[in-house]
Amino acid sequence: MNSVPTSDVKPVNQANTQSDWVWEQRIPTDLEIASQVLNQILEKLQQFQWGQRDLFGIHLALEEALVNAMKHGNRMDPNKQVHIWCRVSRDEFHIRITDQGAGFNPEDVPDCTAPENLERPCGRGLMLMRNFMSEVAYNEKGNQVTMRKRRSQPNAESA
Amino acid sequence: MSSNEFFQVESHGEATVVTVQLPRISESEGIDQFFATLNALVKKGHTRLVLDLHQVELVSSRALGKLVVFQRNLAKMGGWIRLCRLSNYLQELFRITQLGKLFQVFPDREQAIAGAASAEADPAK
Repeated sequence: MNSVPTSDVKPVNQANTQSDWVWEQRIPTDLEIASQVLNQILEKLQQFQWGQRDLFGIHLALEEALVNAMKHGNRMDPNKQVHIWCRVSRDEFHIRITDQGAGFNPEDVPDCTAPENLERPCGRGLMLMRNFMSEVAYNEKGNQVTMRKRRSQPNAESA
Repeated sequence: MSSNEFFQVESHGEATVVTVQLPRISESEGIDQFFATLNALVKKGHTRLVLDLHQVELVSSRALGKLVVFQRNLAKMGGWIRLCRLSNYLQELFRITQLGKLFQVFPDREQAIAGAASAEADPAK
């Protein structure tokens, strides 16, 4: 597995406004590097004092989206890359992840909570992303996902 | 019994209790170790498993899918799996995915192990 120093995973645009953190990078198809990116974004969200429940949801959705891009999109081809653009602020998390695969139609993914699909091993990732994020959208080709999460109110955090 | 830094394995009667000490069971971290350990236990004849997940913060969709398949294969061998001490977030995950219908989930180890005593009536079997 390729390994890049953590220092290579740096924001290219540290702050385009006083309060936002913007990060953009192409990373190789490597789950270890995806994990580094994930940890860096979570760390930034913690710095913006996002609550635990929101962090859990973003963590889960981001894990699903990055693994989807690498496994299903780029089919773990080490010559392909994943492009990530991300913005974090106190009130909103916004990310766009683009792979170099053929894309897919999210409408083709069956409802994993239907009784006949409950025992299927796949199909839950997209549903979890939609459940934990405020918005999830794909481009027409189906190789780019955009997700937004608005910060929960404090009373929702404790629920 | 093979405990290591990621798993603590103990026998309680006919049940084998596995305390999972991985923070994440996901594609980017932990999934291979998790299922390698479970498969190794089954190979050694430990087919009645209680998984204590109180230290696990996140389980990805693929790990959930693999757990579904693992449970199905275990049931074919006459074994079973029970989950206990899930965090509120993991409980929510099982509720959203409706996987609480497939897995037996207990609030604590004692209840999970006690349930093991009546394994013959286990619906998952």
